[in-house]
Order: sequence, then structure tokens, then C-alpha cells
Amino acid sequence: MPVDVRLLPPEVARAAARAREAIGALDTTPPDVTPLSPAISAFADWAIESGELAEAIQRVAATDPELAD
Amino acid sequence: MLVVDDHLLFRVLAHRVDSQLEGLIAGGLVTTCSWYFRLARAISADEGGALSRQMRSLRENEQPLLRNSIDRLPPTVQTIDHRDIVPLMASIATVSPSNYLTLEAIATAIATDADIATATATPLLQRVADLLHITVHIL
Repeated sequence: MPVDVRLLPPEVARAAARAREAIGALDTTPPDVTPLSPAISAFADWAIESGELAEAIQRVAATDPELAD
Repeated sequence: MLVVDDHLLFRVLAHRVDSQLEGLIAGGLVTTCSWYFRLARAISADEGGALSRQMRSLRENEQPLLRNSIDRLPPTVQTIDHRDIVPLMASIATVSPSNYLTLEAIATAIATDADIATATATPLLQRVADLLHITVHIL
């Protein structure tokens, strides 16, 4: 529910107007809350434990100069 | 827009959001520095409280991801500059004396035209919110 500033005590409403003006427009993009799928999570576990992901990245980087960093 | 407390911020950053919370944050998310600090301190101290226990319950590969998100909040989780919010907090305190944490939450809600959502009911927060016609969700 939007906050109805008309219902606020006058001094609070004035301070609210100043705060809103100072803050300006806010980014209303919702945060990404997509859960990790079990498959991705299992892959991440495997990659961390085995170190094979880092090796795979190094192999790709070795063939692509733009990925060297 | 929704103002979330430390527990709900944890759920967002840990990707443990149910459909109700997901619906409420669809218009954007903001938290207070007090609640952000409480979460960061709990995870950093790891003293076995409610938040650090939840942290331990995450998969091992998720824990560093959560720590990273707490160290550097995603841009979609917003906080308000204290220069913009403190005068409003002071104004609210004149009509309803309260503590810092509550005043910051209420002022953030008013300044961002948001509801407030917390994991547990807090009588003081509810009393000030009722006085100023702000909706509080308990999730």
C-alpha cells in the first residue's frame, strides 16, 4: 500500500517531502532470487571439490587471448 | 517497494524467497543500515544466533556467495543515504518517540513509499507504523 502523506502529521509530511525530493527516483528492479537448481548446485560442489572447473577455464583461456585474465 | 529486515534480507541474498516475499519485492527492495548491520554482524561473528545458524544450514558452496553478497550488496538491494533520512527520522521522533532502528525503518518506508516486512512481529514498530498508516507484513 502506498504511504498516504496526507495522513501524516504536517511536520512529518514536510520532512517526508524533503526526503523524497533528496532521494529522487529509486531503482525498482527486483533482486534476482532465482533459486540455484539442484543440478547447478551439484555442479558447483563438484567444481569446487575437484578443481576441474578451474582447469577447464585455464584450458579455454590458453586458446583465447581475450580470456587470459 | 518493500523495506525488509535483517532476516528477510538474508532470505533474499541466500535465494530462499517464498512466493509471498517474491511478490512483495517485485516493485523493488530497500533495507535500513541498522538491519543491514545486524545481518552483517551476525554472519561475521558467527556466534550461533538465528541468522548464523541459517548461514550454517546453507550448502557449502552457497556460503561464500552469501558472504560476498553481504560484503557488497547487489545494486537491486537499496539503502538510503543518512543525509536524506535522518531529518525525517527526527521529525517522526517528535510525534512518536521510538528507538533508532524503528525510526530508520519507518522513515525509510515513508521516504520510499514502501511497506515494511519483518520476520517477527515487533510491537514498537507496529505501533509507530499504525500511527503513520504504514503497512507492516510479518513473513
